[in-house]
Amino acid sequence: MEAILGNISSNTEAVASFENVTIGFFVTCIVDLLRPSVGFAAIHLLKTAGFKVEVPASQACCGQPAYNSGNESSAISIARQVIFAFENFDYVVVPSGSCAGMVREHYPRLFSSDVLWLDRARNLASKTYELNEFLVDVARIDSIQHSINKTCTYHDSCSGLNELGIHKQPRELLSKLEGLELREMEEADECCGFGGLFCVKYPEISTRIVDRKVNNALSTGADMLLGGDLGCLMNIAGYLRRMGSSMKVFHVAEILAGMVDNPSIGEKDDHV
Amino acid sequence: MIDARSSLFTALRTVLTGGEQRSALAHRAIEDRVQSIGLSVRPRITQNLVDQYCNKHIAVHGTVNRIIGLDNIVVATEEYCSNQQLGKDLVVGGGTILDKVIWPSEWSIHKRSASVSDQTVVSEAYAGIAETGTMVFIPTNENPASHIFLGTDHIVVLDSSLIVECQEDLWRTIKSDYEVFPRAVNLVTGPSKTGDVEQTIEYGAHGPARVHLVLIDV
Amino acid sequence: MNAASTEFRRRVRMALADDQLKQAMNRAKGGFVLKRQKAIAEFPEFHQMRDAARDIKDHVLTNLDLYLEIYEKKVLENGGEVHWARTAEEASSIVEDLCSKSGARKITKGKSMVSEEINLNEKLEKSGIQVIETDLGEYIVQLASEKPSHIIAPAVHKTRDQISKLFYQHHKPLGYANCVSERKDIVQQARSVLRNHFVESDIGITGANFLIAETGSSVIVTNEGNGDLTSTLPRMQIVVAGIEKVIPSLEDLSVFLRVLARSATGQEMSAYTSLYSGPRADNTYEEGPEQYHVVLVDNGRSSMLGSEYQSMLRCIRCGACLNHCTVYNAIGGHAYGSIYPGPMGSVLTPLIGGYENNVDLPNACTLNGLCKTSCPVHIPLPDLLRQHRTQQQRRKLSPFTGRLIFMIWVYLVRRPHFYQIVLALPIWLLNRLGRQRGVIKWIPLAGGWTSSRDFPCPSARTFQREWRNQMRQFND
Repeated sequence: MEAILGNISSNTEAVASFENVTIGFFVTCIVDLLRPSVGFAAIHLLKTAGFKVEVPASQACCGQPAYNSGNESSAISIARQVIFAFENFDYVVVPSGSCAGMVREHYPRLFSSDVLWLDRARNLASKTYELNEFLVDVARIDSIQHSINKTCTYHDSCSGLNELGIHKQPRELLSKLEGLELREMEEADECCGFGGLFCVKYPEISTRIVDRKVNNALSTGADMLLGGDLGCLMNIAGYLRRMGSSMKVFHVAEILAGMVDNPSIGEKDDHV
Repeated sequence: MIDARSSLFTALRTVLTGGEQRSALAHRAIEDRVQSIGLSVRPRITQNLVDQYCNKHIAVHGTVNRIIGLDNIVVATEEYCSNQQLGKDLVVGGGTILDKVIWPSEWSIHKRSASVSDQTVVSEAYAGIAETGTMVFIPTNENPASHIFLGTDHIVVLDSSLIVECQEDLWRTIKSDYEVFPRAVNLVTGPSKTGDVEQTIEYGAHGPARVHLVLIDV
Repeated sequence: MNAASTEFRRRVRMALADDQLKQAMNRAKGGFVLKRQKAIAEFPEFHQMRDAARDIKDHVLTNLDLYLEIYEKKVLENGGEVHWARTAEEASSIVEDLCSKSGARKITKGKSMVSEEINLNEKLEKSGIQVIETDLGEYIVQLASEKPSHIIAPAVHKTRDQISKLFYQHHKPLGYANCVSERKDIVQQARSVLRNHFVESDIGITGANFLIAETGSSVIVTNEGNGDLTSTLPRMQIVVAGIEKVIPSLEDLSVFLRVLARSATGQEMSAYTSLYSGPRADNTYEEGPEQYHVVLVDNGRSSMLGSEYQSMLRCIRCGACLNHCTVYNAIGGHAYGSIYPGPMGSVLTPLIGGYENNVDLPNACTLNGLCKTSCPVHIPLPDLLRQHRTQQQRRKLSPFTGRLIFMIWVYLVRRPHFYQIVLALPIWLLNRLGRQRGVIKWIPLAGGWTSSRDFPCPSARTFQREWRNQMRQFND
């Protein structure tokens, strides 16, 4: 347990007004399988903000890989499952812009010709949020009791930015961390080349794109690169590690939750 | 054998109207739409039209000389030619203003189409559009298109009262001046240019490298 | 993988290995993107204009037959001729016929993407007619025996050095003894070489950015002036345009002009915007063509009407989507193997050229959405690409192993508890494999990732398992 959570210090300033609000936490397949600490960090932030959080067991994926590869019927069957598991929560929070975007922007489209499910999809979409936008726009947290003397740069994932308009929220949250200096990189809002299956279907193109992203990031001289989508971050971290760079990559939730001393993405875990 | 036109229209109508012929009402609605004059959203103009026009023209690499009275056209032309070290060998077009100009006898004035070896051309514009600093030409025999597109230096004479605010005003003006829409209308904004080499602008690609506006307050 | 796919991957590899291409594309991206941003910042109402432009296009498409009829009638009234072509072959034959019948020996061309689409130059050259591309970018690629790599900047993939060498090679026999390498001199030399072609040309062929039903006009939007010299000096003018280019009126033209140059090059207005509405009025005119022909091309456009792809017909060929596309920037236009590259090309090419030969285009895309945000007429390009992927699935055009793995994945994901049981072991194994280093250097079947990147090592247990564990401990 310690190995995963590291040293999350607890912030006891819970906000009373959210006592009766329950969040259904959508882990996302990548966080679930490849970096659970992101999930724990996100839940910690939500609980600290005063919410009850539940994690339905009947979730595995939002269906985006099926949808983006043109398998609409599979995407629909997966989506129905997600709607069923989450539709009764007050809010659904997702530590990923692309999965949140899938539910909010594309689920209604998937069910456009099915009146009953369209209603349910719209209902779910109306209360689904990406983590950063939830913390700023809904929970309106005003302080984060951590200090961290590091420099960082931020990568805006494409879906979060282009579908959900998420740009200022993570930056606002990071500005609440005492001692953290944010250095914007050139082309912060440019694609990193992950693109889901794209990075393995067209690896050479993906590599060229991530190379550009990484060079932009390294030019800032920042200690860390942060972002809101683990897929992008694994792609960027994987390339940084292969290059032999010591720049650390974290999901922004992990840093907001005070996990800066944990092994970063692709870094050896010295506790093991 | 079905010709291409019939086959295309059949294909279009199958999709658009389920194959049915359009009603007379539908035809009329479209004709009305074609004739309807709308004023769409445009950039706001905060200066007076003439200042706006001049500033826009300068912003696209043009030069301006504002003069009062037709008598100063020769002076303005001379000034420009001296500054650019051009000889007084000019191809000159016609028009309400230019027809009244008496050029110095020692200058070589050619009233003909421009050729590929001509350098300096003097034209009169039909109108100007303040929104974008655009000159409008409607080619005629006296003001042929070759005057606009050949030559290296284009001196354009324009009556400042002919400057309109936006393109829509221009279309209205042309439609009231001409019963039949002219065969050619050329909107010119600054000199000829290209960015095809290193994505960097160079002037004088095929048309004039310099456009000098002589704006006359008549 | 079919032959077309193998070819695509080969072209991509070549493009990625080409340092001069990388240099040229980087330059282009900065230029186009920044200039557009600046132009839009100065015109806050730009986004309203985009909505208006989209609405006009949608209105026209629902009434395309009527607008084409009105346009044709007007052109005929003006003394012009209208020709209709259902296919690329028909279109190029019509033009070739017009040229041969008139005894033309030399033709000048303004830049026209649709003329590339119908392979016009090849057809004309086969008939022994000399075809001179007069747009500088098109001229450069013509000299290099290449196709354009961008729909508005045909030679964007060429560096100055490459252009300088091309000019020296081709112009020396014409008497240009010195190699010019400064940009200004290159442009001057092109101007000098092409000048005489304009006046010697028998026929001028251009495309059209718009066709106006109200006046029967064809509109060309250029910066160089070559399109106008091509349209005016020769005795015959031929305009080749897709049927979707028609718009209702002059006022509508102004809406489009306000978004076109800003989206394409960041200009408020191009240097030359010209409306041509027919041949010279009569023989008292010294200049202007004696004959004016418009060739309207279908080539798959009518099939897009009424389909999920109808919005693609709104395209005004500004190139903004190419300029913002991360993949286009990385591989350049030639890698696409189509005259229409980038996002709009990836949507259009399978519709014109068929799915079998164009499997990769809709898939070589990260769906990041920058194309959609930059499109002046709001074409939902990522959605259309996804539609293509759906079509490909229906036609079973992807490799069998991929489809099998996918089916297994769907099976598991729909059974979350079983999913956790099945994946527990592989995740644990990956963790053991990588825990020493924090990354895994090579994973079987995932060579696509590990050939150039390390794979960050996962934790030993999934989140769900850890969470259930915690809940159990909490409840105990």
